[in-house]
Amino acid sequence: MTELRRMMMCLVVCVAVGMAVFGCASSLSNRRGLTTHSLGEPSTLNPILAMDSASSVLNDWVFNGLLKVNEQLELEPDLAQSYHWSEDGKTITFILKKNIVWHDGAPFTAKDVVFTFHKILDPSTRTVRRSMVVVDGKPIQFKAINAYTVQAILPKPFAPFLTGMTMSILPHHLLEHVDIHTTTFNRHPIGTGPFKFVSWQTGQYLKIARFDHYFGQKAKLDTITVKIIPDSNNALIALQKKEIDACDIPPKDRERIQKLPHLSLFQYDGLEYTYLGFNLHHPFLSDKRVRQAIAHGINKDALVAHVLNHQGRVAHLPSSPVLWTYPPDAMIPVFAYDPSRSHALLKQAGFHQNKSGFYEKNGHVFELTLLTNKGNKTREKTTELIQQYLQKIGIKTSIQIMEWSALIKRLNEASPKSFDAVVLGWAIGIEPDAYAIWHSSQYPQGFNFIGYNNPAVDRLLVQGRETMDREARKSIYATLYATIARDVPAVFLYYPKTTVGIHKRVKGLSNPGPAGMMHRIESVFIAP
Amino acid sequence: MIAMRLIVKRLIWMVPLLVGMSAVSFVMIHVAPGDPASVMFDPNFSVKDQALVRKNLGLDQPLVVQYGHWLAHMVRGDFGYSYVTGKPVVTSFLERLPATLLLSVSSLVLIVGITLPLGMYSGAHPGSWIDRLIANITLLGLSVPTFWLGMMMIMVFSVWLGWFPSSGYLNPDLSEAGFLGTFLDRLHHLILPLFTIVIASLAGLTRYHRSGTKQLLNEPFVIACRARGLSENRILFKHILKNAALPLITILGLELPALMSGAFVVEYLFAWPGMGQLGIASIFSRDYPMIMGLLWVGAILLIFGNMLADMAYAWVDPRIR
Repeated sequence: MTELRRMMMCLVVCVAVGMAVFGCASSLSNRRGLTTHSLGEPSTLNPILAMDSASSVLNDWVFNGLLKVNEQLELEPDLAQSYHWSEDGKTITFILKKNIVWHDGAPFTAKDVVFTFHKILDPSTRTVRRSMVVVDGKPIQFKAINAYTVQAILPKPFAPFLTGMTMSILPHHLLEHVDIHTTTFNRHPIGTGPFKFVSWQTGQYLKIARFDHYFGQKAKLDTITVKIIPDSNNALIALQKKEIDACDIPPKDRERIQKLPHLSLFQYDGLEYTYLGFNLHHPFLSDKRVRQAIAHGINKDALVAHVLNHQGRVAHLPSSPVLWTYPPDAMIPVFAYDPSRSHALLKQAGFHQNKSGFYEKNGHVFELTLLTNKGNKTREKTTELIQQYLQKIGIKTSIQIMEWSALIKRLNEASPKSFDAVVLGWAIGIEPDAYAIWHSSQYPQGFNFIGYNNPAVDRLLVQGRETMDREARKSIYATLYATIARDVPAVFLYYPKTTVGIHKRVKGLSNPGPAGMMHRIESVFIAP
Repeated sequence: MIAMRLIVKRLIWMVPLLVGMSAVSFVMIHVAPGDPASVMFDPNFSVKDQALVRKNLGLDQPLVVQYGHWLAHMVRGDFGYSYVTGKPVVTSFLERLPATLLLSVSSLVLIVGITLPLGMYSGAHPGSWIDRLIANITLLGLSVPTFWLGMMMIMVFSVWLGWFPSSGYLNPDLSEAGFLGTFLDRLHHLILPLFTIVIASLAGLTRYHRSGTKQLLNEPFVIACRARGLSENRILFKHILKNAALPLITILGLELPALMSGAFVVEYLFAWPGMGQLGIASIFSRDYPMIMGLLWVGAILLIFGNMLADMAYAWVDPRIR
């Protein structure tokens, strides 16, 4: 038996020695550049093919668009020196900056701009960005007038067009004769941005380094490393362990992370809202009074307090308080929490309470199933609270949490759709155009899956797109939001705030805002 | 000669097996809701563009046509291109294989190395307190979910003690380190995922070896050995070890596909850039060529693994010949 015992002892000793050796080797604190993370492996680094957020992780650092979004969420020239509209609002001329070079040294010209948009319009390109350069099904024409002048001719005035001009421009000289889907460029991009691509270790990290011939302000950082960490809990641990410099903090972890001395926390409103959307073709939910009853029955303040840990604001509109079209308080219809009002409205709509306390009409009990997607804990918790509120006002409610693709399939099914109500969120850009979400033509196939149909709103949506004047657009969208809110096609629940934790050694950050803390990446540096 | 005929027969059988397996899985993954074009749900991307992407990928064609197309390429050894990354499927595999092999081979070696002595000791002393202790500890490893175990490993050894990195495969800052530096760095990253797998899989093989040893102790040849006056140790190491290790061949044969396909949960949790991580990403993005490629390789390895195990058995154990 001694041999067996010896073997086991050996094992124990091996493990112990191993632990001791590695106990000494740790901490990677001698990092020189900035280290961030991505919650997934990019599929491609080609900005026109990107379909997931991980694929856009380097976009703003490696590429430039004709225009860019500044910290105040306004558009300003980037590769363009200036631009001006024709009288009829259908032609826009971009004058490009001179002396810009690609990371490989080739000069940037109008050819690159025209090539990029033609590639997006090419039906054989697998891109989901074509709608940016198509108006009412007709393509926008791009023409190079000379090496530094590009003209875009629109079929009709189209205000959201300018936001599309933030699209990253690709190098014509490298992509003209290759298959855009399989070219090595997609893994080794060449741009005009402040950082040039260095390496991509599959599943591990992406690395970029300062481009010394950048046309704008040169970056202070030598390198940026983006570590690929698929699990969000693990990313948070990496932030705690000083393995990465920045990471989003979920509401539940904020208090704990705040105590860590090496981190600064920043908080700002995001460009997104969470809502409870109704199937407007549902026999009971098609009645506006019923939807109003539900709106009065949900305590949104409690949702913000318990689900978001107070890190958010109550929502009343399909917009965001940081968007320039957000209307003044006086124009916002508010459905305050008032269960007695809910009961009154349901009775008005012809419902009566049965013995078990649930409302029914024509012999049918008012029963709803709330859908939401799996994996988003905040949404799941929101749905659970809504269920409790609806039960309280006499609506029998159940919950179905579905895998993302299964949920999308359910929402996209042909009319009549079978779902009752869904808890989801929309991320919105800086362009207020919400045609895809609210126009009646976007049903049943499209993002207006709830089936909202109000001719007045349809008109306002089209007007908002065709009006170029900012102030005029502001008033159009204010009316639009108020009309939608009064119709209650959805209960707008809350605007979540984003919290970011950043290592204190990182300096030169932007002001907190939806553009991100490192929006001016050129100014960011690591304190010695 | 008989062996050759057996191999040829097995190889011929492989064809319908592979076709059947691929047809069933092809239908299953296409029936699952969503496709590569619809995973993105964003009002900034129009439904029309998504339809065009679908058409470009040939996803608008009948399933039979799509399958025929895929199979025709596959028999020529062409795994195709990923729908999501545009990279050849084979290239993606080759990129991921080293990380997966490092983790799977080292864990297998460790598992066998630990379970054989544990199992033999338990089998030789059934009912003793050490036997019960071993049974309980290995069972504990089996009963905790791998995900939780991994999280705990990270919490204790990475966050609290700070001994190991919380995730990843290598340190990006060490790209120019020498051979020794790279080796140590890899080892440093390997320990936590490795032990998560090992702890979770101790129970099965330990019990296997235990019952094997226990059974063998009552075999006539052992009794004969005892009668000849051989010591217990000599019996265990000289006669029983060889026989107890025999089932390992089958297990290794069956493990072959698992070695290549990677540990999904552990690779995801520790950001280990292997085949398992690729599998998860491909399934979520509905990257059909990639998923089918993974399944195809897995099936071939499973069939080959079985065949090799049978042959090895025949070679090692004269009774089977």
